Amino acid sequence: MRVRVVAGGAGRRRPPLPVAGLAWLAAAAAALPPTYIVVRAAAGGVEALAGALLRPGNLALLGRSLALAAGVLVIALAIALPAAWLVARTDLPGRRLWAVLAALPLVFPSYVAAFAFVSVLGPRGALQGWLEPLGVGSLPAVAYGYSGACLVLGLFIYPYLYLLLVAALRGLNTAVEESSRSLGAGPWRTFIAVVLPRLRPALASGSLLVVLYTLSDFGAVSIVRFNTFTVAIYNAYSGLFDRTSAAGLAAVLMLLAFAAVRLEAAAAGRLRLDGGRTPRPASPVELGRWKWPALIGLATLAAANLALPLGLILFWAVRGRAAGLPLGSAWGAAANSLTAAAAAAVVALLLALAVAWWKERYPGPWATVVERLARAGYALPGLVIALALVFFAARWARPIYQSLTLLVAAYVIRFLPEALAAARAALAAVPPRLEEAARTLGRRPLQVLREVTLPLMRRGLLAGLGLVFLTSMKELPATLILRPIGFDTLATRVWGYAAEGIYSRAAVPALLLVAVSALPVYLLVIAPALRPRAAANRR
Amino acid sequence: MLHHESPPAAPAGVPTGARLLVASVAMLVALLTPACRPAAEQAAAPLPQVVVYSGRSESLAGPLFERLEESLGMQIMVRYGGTAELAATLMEEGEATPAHVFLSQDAAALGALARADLLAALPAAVLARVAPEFRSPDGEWVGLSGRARCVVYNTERVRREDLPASLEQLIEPRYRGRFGIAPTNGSFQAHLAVYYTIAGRAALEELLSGLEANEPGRYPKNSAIVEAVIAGEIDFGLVNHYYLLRALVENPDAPAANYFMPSGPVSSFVNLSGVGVLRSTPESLALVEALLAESAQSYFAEETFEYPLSAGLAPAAGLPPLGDLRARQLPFDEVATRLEETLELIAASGLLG
Amino acid sequence: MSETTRPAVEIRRLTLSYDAAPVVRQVDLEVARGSLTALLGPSGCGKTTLLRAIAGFERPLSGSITIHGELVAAVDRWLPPERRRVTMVFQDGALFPHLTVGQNVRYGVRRHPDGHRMVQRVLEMTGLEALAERYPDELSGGQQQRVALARALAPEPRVVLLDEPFAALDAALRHRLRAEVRAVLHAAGATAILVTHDQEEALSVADRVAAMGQGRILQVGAPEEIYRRPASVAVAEILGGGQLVPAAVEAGRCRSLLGQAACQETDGPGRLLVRAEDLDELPADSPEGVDATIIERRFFGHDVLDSVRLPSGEQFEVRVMSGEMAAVGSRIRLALRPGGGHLIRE
Repeated sequence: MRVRVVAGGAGRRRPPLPVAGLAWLAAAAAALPPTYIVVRAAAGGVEALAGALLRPGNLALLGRSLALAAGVLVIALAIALPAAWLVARTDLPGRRLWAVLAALPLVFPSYVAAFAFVSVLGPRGALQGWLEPLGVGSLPAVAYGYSGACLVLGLFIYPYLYLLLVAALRGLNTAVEESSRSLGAGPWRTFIAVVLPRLRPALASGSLLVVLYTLSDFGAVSIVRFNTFTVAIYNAYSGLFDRTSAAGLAAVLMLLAFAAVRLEAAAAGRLRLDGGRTPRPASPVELGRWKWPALIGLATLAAANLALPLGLILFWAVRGRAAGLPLGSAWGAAANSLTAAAAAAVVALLLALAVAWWKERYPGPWATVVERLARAGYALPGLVIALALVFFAARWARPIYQSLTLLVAAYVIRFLPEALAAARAALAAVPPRLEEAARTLGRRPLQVLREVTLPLMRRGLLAGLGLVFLTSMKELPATLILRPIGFDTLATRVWGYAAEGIYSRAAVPALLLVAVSALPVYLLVIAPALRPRAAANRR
Repeated sequence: MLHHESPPAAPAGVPTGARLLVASVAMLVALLTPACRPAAEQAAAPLPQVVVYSGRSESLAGPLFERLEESLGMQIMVRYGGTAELAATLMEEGEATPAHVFLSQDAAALGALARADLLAALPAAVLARVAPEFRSPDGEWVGLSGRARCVVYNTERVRREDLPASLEQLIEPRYRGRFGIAPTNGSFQAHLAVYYTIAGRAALEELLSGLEANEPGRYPKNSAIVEAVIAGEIDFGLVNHYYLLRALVENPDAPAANYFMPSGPVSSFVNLSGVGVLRSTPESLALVEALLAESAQSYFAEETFEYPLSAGLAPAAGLPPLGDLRARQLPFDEVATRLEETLELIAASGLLG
Repeated sequence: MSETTRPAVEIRRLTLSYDAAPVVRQVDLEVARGSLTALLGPSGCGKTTLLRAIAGFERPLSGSITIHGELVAAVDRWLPPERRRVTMVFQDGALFPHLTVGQNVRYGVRRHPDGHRMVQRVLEMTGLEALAERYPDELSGGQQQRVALARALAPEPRVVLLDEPFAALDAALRHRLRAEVRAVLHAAGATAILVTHDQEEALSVADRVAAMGQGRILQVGAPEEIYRRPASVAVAEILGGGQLVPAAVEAGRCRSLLGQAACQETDGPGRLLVRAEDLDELPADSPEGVDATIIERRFFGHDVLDSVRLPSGEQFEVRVMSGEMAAVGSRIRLALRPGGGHLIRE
């Protein structure tokens, strides 16, 4: 008998009011940027819009954006999957440490990462400088162009995938894998035939995040000089001051994003439930002599995406001190960053929880539309989201315009999809049958949510909190436009100095950014993910 | 016997739904309290206020604003950001903007704002302080300081008379591999866009292919070119005039000097940073006047080494007067429309590779 | 009918559907208090949907469900699951992984003043006292199902629903657990409805069996009744085992290719349901029955299952006590035992 996934309430009933209310709030917020885009694009008239969109240059740029997204996805998967598996399932020495290190690159803003990459690995960068005595006049320009963009973005945003995969791997019912092994399938075959399919939700959500983020990125691609569609949008603003065509281009990006979201929904398949049977935690796979290549691989990874940018920042600091320049302090900015990012993380997760629970437990066309709308906005550059909020708030919400509240709202809108991905993956670990059981035992739907669903979603929810916190900490374009005057964040500080070449003073805020971000990442994301599933479910 | 069963203990430390809700509501309340409302709208401050959107960075313009705050006796609230982004913001805000004054890194942004009818007309007295080619024809914005394109050269490796006299001469074989450019730099691109406007597309294509064939050193920024010239890696390079002067502050003995090419249609294009007024109040006009006054203009001359555009003020020592430069000023709108094509041509020429 | 003699569950003309396709059609069912009723049927017959509707997870398209005299579901009325005092044991237990066994069992009696005693009682009944502090993932499959049962019984519900609770267990465990569950349910005096596709399970555990097919209840009765005398071919197929042989009744005698026997049915055609235990192997020279040859034999120790073939080609299975058997390959006379076989008229 095919058991329908819907549960927790009879068929077509609506979700409890608080949940529906939060979900609608999320939908309204997520609808602001697309509404803005449509209004702006339409304002210029259809002809102007068509002209802007159909310029052959723009189509080529679109192609480049897509090619970049594909390349980055390949690299991100190639890094995230093995790293997650090594950390979550094997007896790799020092896996707690590696687990944190593998997630940390997310703390670096993409433009800092790109800058570090180019400075060190550029044709006449630092590495070339060290090799010059050996006769190396210039290095191949791998750090620029398509290869540079793929590498930089792949190396620094794979943690989206990685974090979701680690959470998923720890939560899988391993009985199936054990039976596969006992039936004679080797570890590889077991992995491909048994484990991989059950990672589909995490793989799909994470891949979507990687693709959409790549489409939206501007900071990194401009530094490595790889022109993409986003560059076309920025050029429309900065070269031509043409908001109409910029909005039109942004609309194209959104359509792309919708298509990607649709693809992801198909790829994720129906939520794979592990059934209500509580599984035994997995025994770690023994690596044997494979641990050496694994360790070397992880060390190289950390060298590329941690040591490199950190080294550059420290170099700035040291060089500045040696020249007697003041390094300055950034504690105020740090406090600001923390406040805004923490608030954004909590709000985003609340909304994401409501939307995800509604969609999974009370499915229907509305729930799907809300969820897709919320996720498609991830492809929009921060600037566009900021302008959307300016458009609405300056006219109709003056009291909160340029206030911290609006800034947090911008972060929430921008990063809601990350929280949604995490909430969805977390919900996949809670079979509806458990909620039904609780209902038969006398609990109302909200009580069930509180006593059964949330505790079991804890690991995934914490991952979502960590993700939104991290990305909010380093957000730049929307912050510059929407922050209260005088409200500096670490990201704006770094930008302010680095843009002027005053690297010595950019060093301290950059280091603080990394330090302040790293600790919550460990607490929220890595530590829970590393405890055995059973232990993690209870205290 | 009454026996109360305790509810199944939720794992400690977990943000249960209710606790999460309460925490978030508390946080939202905290955010909405007056302490976090935009500073510009706080309970009446004793000093008059001006809100400035500045496309010039805090490290550059901050000290100037602090000085002016004191001398004018008003509170200057500055939002620092990128010129283009701030201009787009102003256009979205429209009439509802909280900003009074916009400080722009280049003229194109001011032109765009003027076209959108967002700038207030400046009083004649203000306009009169700046030469006509450095302000808007309709009196909606004025230039504050200028950045001229020039050549920086290593005095020990090359003589002044051997340097190219114009942009076109850069493609001569005798300069092969001896100079540097920064093809991704905005000033370089704007310079070429002006060249395109004056000399035509074919001339620009020829110039670009000739440049590329002459194997110039490619640097990410102007400051890198100056460093390379000082180090002797290259003989000379195309930069903005003030980079060398800033470098000389830290390194007074560097064997390098500026050279302004004397011939050619536009060898020394002057890009300017300027100011426009969005909301005309006594304070905002006072600020604009102050920016054009001697104190602020000498800040530009002495601290940032730019050309003060207020009439009658001399630049830093060692710079030729503005009038001597081979610089034709064009309507910046026209330049802006050529910019995209120029970028494409630069990319096509292989100079970026 | 007084309150305490009213059936625990009354279902009247209940229709349920998924996306406009009817899954349960016009079902009538009564479940007496303290009894164990099995809903038996193949996959897709609607039994689980019916169960879920009783629990409160499906809304009726039409019809009504009444529990202990209270109308809980109808077109215009619907009591949510948490208010029905109907608990459920799921196929895979659905234990809360983040709670101990004790906490799981206590879950439904949280606020009850007598809760402690109720929980203790149920833990004793299911033999789980020693495991109270363990977590579900530390238990075996059978233990988990016991916990699920204890959890469902602790709040002294009006009805306990069991959705194929033994399906995920291995055969030996299944047998043991069935007996235990039946004993526990009786000891608790619970009214229970068990859904299963396994006829052996339904027949051995339940007091009454309701055969379900294609969304309808086809027959309700005691296990023996429904097994021996299925009302239709469909029910016979659900109960499984046996073959249907065309037959006709004429003047008090039932004729089929198995010969003829006296029977008390009215005249007319029908189909004879013949089970392995209804047939007998008689010596080849016996006057009764029909010729047949033993072609295969399966030996179970205490008895034997023979496959025999008639000259016309039909095959039958015959259950014979060991010790009385003819050899494989030999010819015998195949006959219906007295009282064996059941005529189905459609």
